[in-house]
Amino acid sequence: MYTPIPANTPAPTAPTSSMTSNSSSASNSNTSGSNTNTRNGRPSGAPSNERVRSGSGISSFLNTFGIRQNNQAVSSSSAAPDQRLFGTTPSNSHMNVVMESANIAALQQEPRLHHPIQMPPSAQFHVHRNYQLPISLSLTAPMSTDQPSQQQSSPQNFEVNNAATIHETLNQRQTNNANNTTTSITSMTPATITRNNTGFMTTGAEGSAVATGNQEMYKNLRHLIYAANQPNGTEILHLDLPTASAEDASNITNVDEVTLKQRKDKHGLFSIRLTPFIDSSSTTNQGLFFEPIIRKAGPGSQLVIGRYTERVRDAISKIPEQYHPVVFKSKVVSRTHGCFKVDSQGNWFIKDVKSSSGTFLNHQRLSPASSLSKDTLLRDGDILQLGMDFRGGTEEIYRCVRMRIELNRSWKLKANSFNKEALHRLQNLQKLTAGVEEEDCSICLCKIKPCQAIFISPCAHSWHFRCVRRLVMLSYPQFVCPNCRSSCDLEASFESSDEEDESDVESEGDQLVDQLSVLMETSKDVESHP
Amino acid sequence: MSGQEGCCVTKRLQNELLQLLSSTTQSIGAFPVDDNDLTYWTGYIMGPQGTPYSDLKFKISLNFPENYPFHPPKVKFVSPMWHPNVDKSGNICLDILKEKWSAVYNVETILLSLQSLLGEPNNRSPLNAVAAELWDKDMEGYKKKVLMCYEEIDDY
Repeated sequence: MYTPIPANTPAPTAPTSSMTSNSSSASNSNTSGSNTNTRNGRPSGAPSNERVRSGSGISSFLNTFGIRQNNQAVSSSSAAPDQRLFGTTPSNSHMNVVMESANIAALQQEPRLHHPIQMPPSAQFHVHRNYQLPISLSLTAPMSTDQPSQQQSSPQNFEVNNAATIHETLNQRQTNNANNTTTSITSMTPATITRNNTGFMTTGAEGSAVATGNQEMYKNLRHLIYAANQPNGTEILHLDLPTASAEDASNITNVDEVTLKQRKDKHGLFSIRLTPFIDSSSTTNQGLFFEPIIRKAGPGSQLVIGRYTERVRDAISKIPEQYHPVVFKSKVVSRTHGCFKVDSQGNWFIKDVKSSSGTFLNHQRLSPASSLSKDTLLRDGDILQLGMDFRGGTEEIYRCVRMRIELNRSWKLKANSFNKEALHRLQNLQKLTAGVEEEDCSICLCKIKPCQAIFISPCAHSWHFRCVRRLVMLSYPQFVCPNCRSSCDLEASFESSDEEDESDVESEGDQLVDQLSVLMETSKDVESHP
Repeated sequence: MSGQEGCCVTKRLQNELLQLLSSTTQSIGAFPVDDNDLTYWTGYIMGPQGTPYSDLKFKISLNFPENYPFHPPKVKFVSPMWHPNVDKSGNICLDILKEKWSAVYNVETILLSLQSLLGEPNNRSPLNAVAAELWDKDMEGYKKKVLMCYEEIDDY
């Protein structure tokens, strides 16, 4: 049954679990040569029969709107999260999730109930759209630990947030005890887990944090999105700036509070918008086409630019689109081609990370092939190109990516009084003609809001242009309104066919001619009398 | 299905689902069959009062194409149905599901149209000629035939 979440209920989060490195089982597995650790009399590799709430599809969508499913179809085995997402465990380690609950048996016997259709009309939708930041993920395989450490990592408590980050909490033990839920990480080649200065967990041989200056780290460049309140945003970026000109230096220095506030959106995040750059003067192909990309990030964030692959798709599937890496379906873009960085002042930088086909900012290459570039300051309106056309760019997959960069424009998208007034007038027009004030686009069922492209038919019905475009093109220039089925010619001339109107136009024209002749006569008089 | 197209269909169907869930109409309902596939729904309609179908519940399947809402969904009766405009396989003859389809129709309007079709069949173009004839000549016999064919559903 669906029950509404009361307004005071906190946002649903993933069940927190105590993650401990089980040293004894790890050593056992190493000595015996098998990797089946037993816990509670069951091999850890075997699929557990516990019922786990599915977090995908409709269930999670309904949860967004505060509708909970109490009884739901459940997968027979609980799949471990993709460890590549975290980059905190060696590639050959195993994550075993064990749920110890008193009522598991009862849950197993409970029959599957079908989805009821109705919801009480009194139900209040309570929207939970807050996604836990920071996010850390790698678009490539994690670095292998060539010399595994012999020392065992000590048990620590962690909290898993949205299968995207792992960070320490101190007050987690009580929660875990209450939930009676344990997660054990057993590793064949354990490595010490340490904390670097960004607040993320990293693993490395001998338990040492990866040196920031080391260029090897760029083999496994991490996509890091921090929240708005991330302290030391600029310091954690470790910017490698070129010998800056006076102009650049002035841009990077601290900005005043008003400018900083303008650069941020309502959540305090900076934004970057990438749109395909179409050069009308260019005779060659226009590069890879892509939908406009908007990404948001807090200070100190690093957004990876790369190629779209299956691995990337899996890694980003549970993350909101605004926090995704910037990826393109083009073979000329390297897997980790480069990265955008944003400092605490909202300054954005671009870095080429040893890409083979190069990164060009305003037609200038940032670094030679397969070498690291400096962090270059971006300006609003800059043109960025990733790679060069291969085989003449005849196939779309071999085209370079050209884009125009817009920075921190979130504040400009807010509707001003003119936008609101225009929409209000449109709604009044509909009220006058159709007798109904429509707020929604009847095609996508979403609200028509200010600053959206709208198509208004002669019968005064309106839709988002994006929604109605297909219907417009279907039988152009004829258009049949999907709402009222009235037909019209979109190419009809603006001259009115009504006789009365025509006579009015003629009389107005006559008046204009008369006025013009009077003016000409007076001008002649002026000329004749010096 | 192109990414953009698929996204539009999903968004539209999500909105329709929310609309149906928050609807107060008790006589119709629908829900996606699979958690991860929004394009296949199963629904029900209650027979309208004052008709041979009153207080009977019928199960319906809705299959949405990738170009929905610009093309109509494929709608069929899953429950056995004795009706002039429904054949033995559950196929429905309804203009709004064919040439009269409009992008502004949605699951709710489809179900309501089907509900009204139960009480007002179009006997000029029947799929089940026997049912059409019986509707015009012998309403009592028609009611008996409806109840004979009816199978109770307990899915909802």
